[in-house]
Amino acid sequence: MMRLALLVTGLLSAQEWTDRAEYDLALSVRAQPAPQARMVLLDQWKQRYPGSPMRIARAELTLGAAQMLGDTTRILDASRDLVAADANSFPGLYWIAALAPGQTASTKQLAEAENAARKLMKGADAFFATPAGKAHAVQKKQVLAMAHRTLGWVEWRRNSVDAALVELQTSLELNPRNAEASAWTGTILAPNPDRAKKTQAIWHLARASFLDGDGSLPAQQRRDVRSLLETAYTSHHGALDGLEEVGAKTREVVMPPETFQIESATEVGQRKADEALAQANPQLFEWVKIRRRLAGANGEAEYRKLEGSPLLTLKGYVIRCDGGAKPNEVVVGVQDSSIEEIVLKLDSRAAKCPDIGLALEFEGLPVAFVKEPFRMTVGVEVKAVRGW
Amino acid sequence: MKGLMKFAMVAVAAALVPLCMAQQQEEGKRIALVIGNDAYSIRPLQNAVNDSRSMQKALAGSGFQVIHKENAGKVAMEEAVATFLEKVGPGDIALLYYAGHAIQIENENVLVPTDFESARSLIDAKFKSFSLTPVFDHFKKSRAKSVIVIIDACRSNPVAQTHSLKAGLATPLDAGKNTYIAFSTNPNNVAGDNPNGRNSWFTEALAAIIAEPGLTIDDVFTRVREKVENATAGKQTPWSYSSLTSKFYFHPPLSGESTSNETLISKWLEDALRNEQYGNWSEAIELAERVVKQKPGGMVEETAQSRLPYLKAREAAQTKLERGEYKDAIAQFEQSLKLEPFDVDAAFEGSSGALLADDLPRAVLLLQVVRQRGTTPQVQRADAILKELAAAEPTAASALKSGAMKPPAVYEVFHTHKFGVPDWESGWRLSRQAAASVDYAAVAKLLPPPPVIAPPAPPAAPPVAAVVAAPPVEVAQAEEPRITLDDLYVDVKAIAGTRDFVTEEFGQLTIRSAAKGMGLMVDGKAVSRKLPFTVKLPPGKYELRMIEGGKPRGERRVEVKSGINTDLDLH
Repeated sequence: MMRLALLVTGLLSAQEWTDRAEYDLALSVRAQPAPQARMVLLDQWKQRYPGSPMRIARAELTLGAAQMLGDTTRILDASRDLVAADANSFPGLYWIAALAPGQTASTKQLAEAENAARKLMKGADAFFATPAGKAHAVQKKQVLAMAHRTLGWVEWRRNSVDAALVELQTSLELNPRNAEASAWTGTILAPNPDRAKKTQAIWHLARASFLDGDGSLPAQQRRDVRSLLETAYTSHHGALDGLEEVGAKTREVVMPPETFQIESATEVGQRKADEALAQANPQLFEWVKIRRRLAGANGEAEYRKLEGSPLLTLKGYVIRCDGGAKPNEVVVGVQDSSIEEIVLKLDSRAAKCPDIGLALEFEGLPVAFVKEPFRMTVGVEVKAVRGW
Repeated sequence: MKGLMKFAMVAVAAALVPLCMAQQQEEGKRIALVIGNDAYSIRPLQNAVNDSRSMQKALAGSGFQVIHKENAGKVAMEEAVATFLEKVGPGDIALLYYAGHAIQIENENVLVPTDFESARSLIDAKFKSFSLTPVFDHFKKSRAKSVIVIIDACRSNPVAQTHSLKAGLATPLDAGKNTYIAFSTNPNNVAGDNPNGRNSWFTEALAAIIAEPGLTIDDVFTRVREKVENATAGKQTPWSYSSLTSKFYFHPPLSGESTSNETLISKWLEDALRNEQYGNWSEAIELAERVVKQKPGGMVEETAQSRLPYLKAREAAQTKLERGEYKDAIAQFEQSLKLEPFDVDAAFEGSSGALLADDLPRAVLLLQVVRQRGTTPQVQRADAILKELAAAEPTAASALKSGAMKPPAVYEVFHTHKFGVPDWESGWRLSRQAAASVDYAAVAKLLPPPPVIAPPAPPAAPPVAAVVAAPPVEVAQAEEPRITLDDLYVDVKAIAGTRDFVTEEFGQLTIRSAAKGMGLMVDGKAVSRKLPFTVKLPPGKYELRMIEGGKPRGERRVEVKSGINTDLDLH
């Protein structure tokens, strides 16, 4: 009896309705389980009582019905109603920010999305400190990640690529299992001709494409991203080999490690050419490697390592002789008879210059080196030169 | 008005049911064995391993635990199948996918391991292969909920020529109930391996279509058939057989559609709530309990679970009222009101019980509940009863005197709605669905095409300067081809000995000399050590340098004109 009395008296302090008819309308909404029919009743309620003290609750109920229908337009309309009634409405701001990337990117809508995302970020601490918010504390990071992801989208649409990447990276730090943010990051970076950016793009696209389970992309988007990934990968690497391995790595780590590299197509070609040359002409390949080291940035230091040590047996094609009719120097090209690479400094003058293009085989000691134009001087014994 | 007893949660539940993953609705797990065999000593295949990889990914993406084997010999296949079958239990969805050679022996389908080399007889061939018959037998015993067997193996038979076997696979006679079998082509026919592709036509289509949400397995294979027929100009028609008694989805519908299990459980819940609305308490309880027993999870189970105490209290109240056990009936009605404060009918019926029990104050209190929470007609009805009671019961008169009661706040009316808190799950789901406005294909078009990698020079070719071209330069964009003298050097060698190569764009230069052993350089590049020689060159002026005996013998300039042969005799 007492309990029943409390049930009645406890409700006497109920919030004011405009009139009992409004309450009846609300009860009819309550009794209607089908979201479509419920939406019709909610619209009637809004039409008959536009300024009702219950309008915030009504907008949230409309939001709920629209969610059930999957009607993003109605969700956004209801969210805008909410924000109009309460500029800091967390559900209103949440939905505007969440759905912004699916909307037309007009200047007005981008500004609306940015405003919603920034207010969400600003209000998150306060919201999750309320009794209602505390019950959902685990969502805080997700909400912040979503807000940064929306800001990333907004900046991207505004062509502020660097700002977009910062926001998306922050989003990924807050919620690493977000294939969408990875996909956008990769898509932004993909057209960048810079090699480092290209490999980062491939990493992020692979992450978006290979991530399974929570946070993975819907099937169609995943296929689209996979297609872009394969194009970016082949554009850089020349073929799809190795992509699965890259994908497997990205499943575990959200951001590309600093050491992450993908061999470029040119490098692949170079490696294959090297492998072929090493097999076909190991002697020449050894010289090619030496020459690359000498022609590189640390050429002088590399030369000092060689200086004084016997050079491997090499074959060079005569290009010209110096020192008159009885030359004391023969200039040869090892790779090609047109490229002067080595000066054979003879221990004694030769009787004559060998025929141009003649192949000579020799051993000797490096005695001098000039990087530009490339020239290594090697001391040789005339008698030890073969093929003369 | 029983309509008031339907709650917001009913709508929420009804809307969420189709969104639950099919995997969650299935009682058991999804488990698959995927085998791809290419490396046969006789008639090796090109695509079966790739096919198995594609399927491994597609199935993993649809929630299967996948055991994956490539190029499996007899023992490896036996071990993989045993491991797979050991994992399949009652209620599970079991899927076997095989790509490779398979044959039919005496109407029995057998898979060919990669270490199959030759067989003396059909019996020998059968024992060296892997028969599907015991696998089907095990499936029958396992009480798996559904069994799916996909064989992309009706390719040319590696042993048919020597053993007079029929081409293709046999119609499976030994499959049990709840089984779906698909072949890449119809029985006794042969499917292609798609020699120019990375996957077979069948698996290429299948792996792609599996990923589409909302397609039943029948839908999937209908589409696969259509694609394969188109790709093979009607030469290959994938074939399937089904004894499934419920729909199976690789990926459940995203929204708005429903799976068989989901539909059924959702319908039970809806029926329960409908029966509740009409006061059919025992039917409502039976249906809600059936839902809970199925453990569908999520809002569906939560809703059914939460309704049961109320439904049971309401049923008990009604029974007590009908039996004339009014005090107990009133207690149960009050309990019902506690569990469902907007069950105005319970308040009315409880007040009737109180009147019959001659407990007028209690009846007034219950009518006050109606006056506060009911619709306007219900309030009017309660007022009418109170008016009749007013003479006998002072509290009734007092209630009427105090005037109309304020209805409860909107937050109480919709007490299951979480006001002020976004629906995170819906937010996440809808934002993913709605955020598909990135044109990834357009971005792909911005990327440079894959660079053409020149094959390594054959060992016999003369060394060329490009070998030392370090460090490598990235190819950023496809450019108009530029012909360098390095190219020409190769070109000269390629065309040496031919005559008819003067084109409109190029000119031709023929150089002769009586001197022997003279070297010649064009623009500083050695082009030949043998004279006379002919070279085609782009129009322009060139500097020739003659070298004889290691010394420059002279230099000349020559102009090459398009389409004209310039004959130069060096004296």
